[in-house]
Amino acid sequence: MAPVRAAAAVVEGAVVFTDIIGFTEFTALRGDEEALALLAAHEAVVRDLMPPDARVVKDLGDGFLLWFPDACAALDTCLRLQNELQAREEPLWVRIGLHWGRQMQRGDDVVGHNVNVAARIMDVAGPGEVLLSEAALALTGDKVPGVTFEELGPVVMRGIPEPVGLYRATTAAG
Amino acid sequence: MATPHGLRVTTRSGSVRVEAEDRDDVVTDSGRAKLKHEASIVSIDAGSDSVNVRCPIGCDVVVGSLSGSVELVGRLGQVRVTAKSGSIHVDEVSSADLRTLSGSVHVERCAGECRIKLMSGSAHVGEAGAVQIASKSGKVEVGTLTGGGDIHVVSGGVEVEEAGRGDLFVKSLSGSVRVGVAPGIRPSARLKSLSGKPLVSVETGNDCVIAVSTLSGRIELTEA
Repeated sequence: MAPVRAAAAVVEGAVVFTDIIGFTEFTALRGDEEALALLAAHEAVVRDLMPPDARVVKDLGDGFLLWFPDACAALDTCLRLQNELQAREEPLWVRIGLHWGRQMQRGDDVVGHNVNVAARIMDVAGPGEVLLSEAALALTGDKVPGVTFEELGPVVMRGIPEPVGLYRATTAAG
Repeated sequence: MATPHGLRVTTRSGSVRVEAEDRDDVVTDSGRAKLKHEASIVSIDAGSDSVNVRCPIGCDVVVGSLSGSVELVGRLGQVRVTAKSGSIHVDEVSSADLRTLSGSVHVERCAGECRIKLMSGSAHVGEAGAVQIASKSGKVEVGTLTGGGDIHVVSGGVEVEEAGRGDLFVKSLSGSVRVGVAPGIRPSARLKSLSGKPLVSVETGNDCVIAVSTLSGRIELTEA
């Protein structure tokens, strides 16, 4: 039998995962209606800040998978996203992981090792934080004004063979 | 060779112990660990082994570990530890960024900012210049806080024994929060709970801000 080859194209870009921390607990405490309102608020902020050439790849329930063709735009969007979310009254405690690399585009989805790395980076982030990989930092560096980077070091991640250099990006606004 | 100012240790599954002592080099007892010297930074890749390292007092330390515990003994500089499932124990550092998904974190003393991120374990900080702590389900305990702080907890409780020398912000979804106020400090108390009236047994004023919000936990502001 001939091997099955999935129809996919190679793309290069920034992959971003966002995740609302404590969403399950919030839903249990406040009920489904308030939980839905929280999701709607998160989605509204994300969609409002997305540059025209970037896209929401997937709604993950209490987070999003986002894709950007430009690393600087991705970082800038992530930081503005955190500033907007933290200014809100609702407990929108969102953690964000950002990575740059090649992915396979499968329909509207993106898959591959670099997508997995971005997800693992998000796992390490805390509420209000934007963490990015060394690969993403190499393309952003001093190109996004007003951003400072703090090295967190080589981070060993489950299922990822090599440690990933991680950085914490912050602005004066937070 | 120059005295190392920075140490980086990575291991996939072993535990890591770094001890600061009066010496000017870095040594390890793990024969299989790969040591690399670059300028004043020493990198140790322990593979999947446990590793014990001795380094100069005040050395900056970065540890990346997947499942082993991490112990930093003695007086160190800036430390950064990321572990997936191990616990982290720190004696005395100038600043810290400590992250573990399922282990607990214990810090005796951190002169500057002590940043802790954890999912299911508890956090204990004896004394810190400032704290930034986020925990999903574990309890957060801070002894003496000599500056400000920011604490986010989803469902664990928060207890700060002595605060008030800087602004403190605590947000919790369901855990109870108790903050002790340092003697002589009259804080501006901004307390909000959806499940009961906060208990305030200190005199309030404008010396600093202590802001606590929780959806269902009890809030207490008492004398330290």
